[in-house]
Amino acid sequence: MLLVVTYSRGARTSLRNVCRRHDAATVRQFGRAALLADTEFGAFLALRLREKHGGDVQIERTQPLNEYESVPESIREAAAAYEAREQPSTPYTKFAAGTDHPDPAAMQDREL
Amino acid sequence: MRVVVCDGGDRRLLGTGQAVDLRPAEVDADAVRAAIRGAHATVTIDCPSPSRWWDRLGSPGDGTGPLDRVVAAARSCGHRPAVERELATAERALRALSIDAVDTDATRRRLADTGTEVERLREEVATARGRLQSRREMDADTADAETALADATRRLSEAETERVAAEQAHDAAQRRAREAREARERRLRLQDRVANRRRDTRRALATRVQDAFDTAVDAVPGEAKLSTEPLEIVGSELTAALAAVRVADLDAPVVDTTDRFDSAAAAADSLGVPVVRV
Repeated sequence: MLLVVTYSRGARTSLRNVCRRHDAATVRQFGRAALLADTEFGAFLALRLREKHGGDVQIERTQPLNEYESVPESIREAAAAYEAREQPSTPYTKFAAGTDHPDPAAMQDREL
Repeated sequence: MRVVVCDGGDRRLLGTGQAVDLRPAEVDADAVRAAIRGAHATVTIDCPSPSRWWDRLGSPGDGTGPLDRVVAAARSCGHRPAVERELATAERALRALSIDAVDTDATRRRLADTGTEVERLREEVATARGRLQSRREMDADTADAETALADATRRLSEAETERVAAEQAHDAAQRRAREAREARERRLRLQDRVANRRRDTRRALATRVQDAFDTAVDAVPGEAKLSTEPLEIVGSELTAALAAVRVADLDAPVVDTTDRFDSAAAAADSLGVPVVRV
């Protein structure tokens, strides 16, 4: 999908108008950002916004995350284990210490 | 007030006092407004010079929004709501913000072009390799085919190097754009703050003169009501415009084109300012 983020009042207003007018091409609208359909028409709308508002419009292409495909098992297991922890107040770093769960700093350095 | 028209060398007095009716003299509203500002070639009006609020208040029925008039009236009376200081701070911060370009168009295009070129050359290399292979199988002369393959391979390698350079340039441009967007993010927050404070300021000013406005409506023709939740004026815009004049502290004359009063004198009396009827 196309993620459109706006950075000025004018661009935000234009984006809202586009979303209102083109319901079918709008997957989701959040305040000053929106997800547009991954179609030529979605791109057409996004590019029109950028043409009109220049650098006040950021366009990214997103895709749903399939964690079973792109996230190592150790990360998935760590997330599940941490959310199932007994002490809600335990920070993750402490939770992971002395276990096989990955260290946050190490995770930050590794790209997916 | 004293209204004089200069026709050639001839000076003619059109009227004096708190209320002057210029309809018989056929001077239009624009000419009167210019004369009040002291900027008309032939018509001269001796009167106090207009304050900065007069632009919005001095001509009822000229299309100025009724709330703008009420706000101007409140300001002319010297009201300065506290929120105005916050507004000024936000406006200053907004002006001081510098915004860098975040355009990555050139690097995006270069990246796409080099990608296409790499794809094209990969196919060319495969074709050249196929040709060489089949000539070998046929025991034909392979010199040209070998040269072609070597040439295509060399160009592919150059294109791949160019593609890596394009990727690096694009990554760098994207990083710069991301940092520059922080400033745009701040600007948007400030723009919103300015808009909110401006709204608060207007509401505060309208609230300050709400009672005076209601009283003023009773003294001018027609009906209008000022409400602050939501901030709006219900009823006749013209009545609201006249009431705003009555609320305001104006010295310069008001240009009356409304037909709401029996005479210029009645208008001056009701509005509490000198009136020029046109």
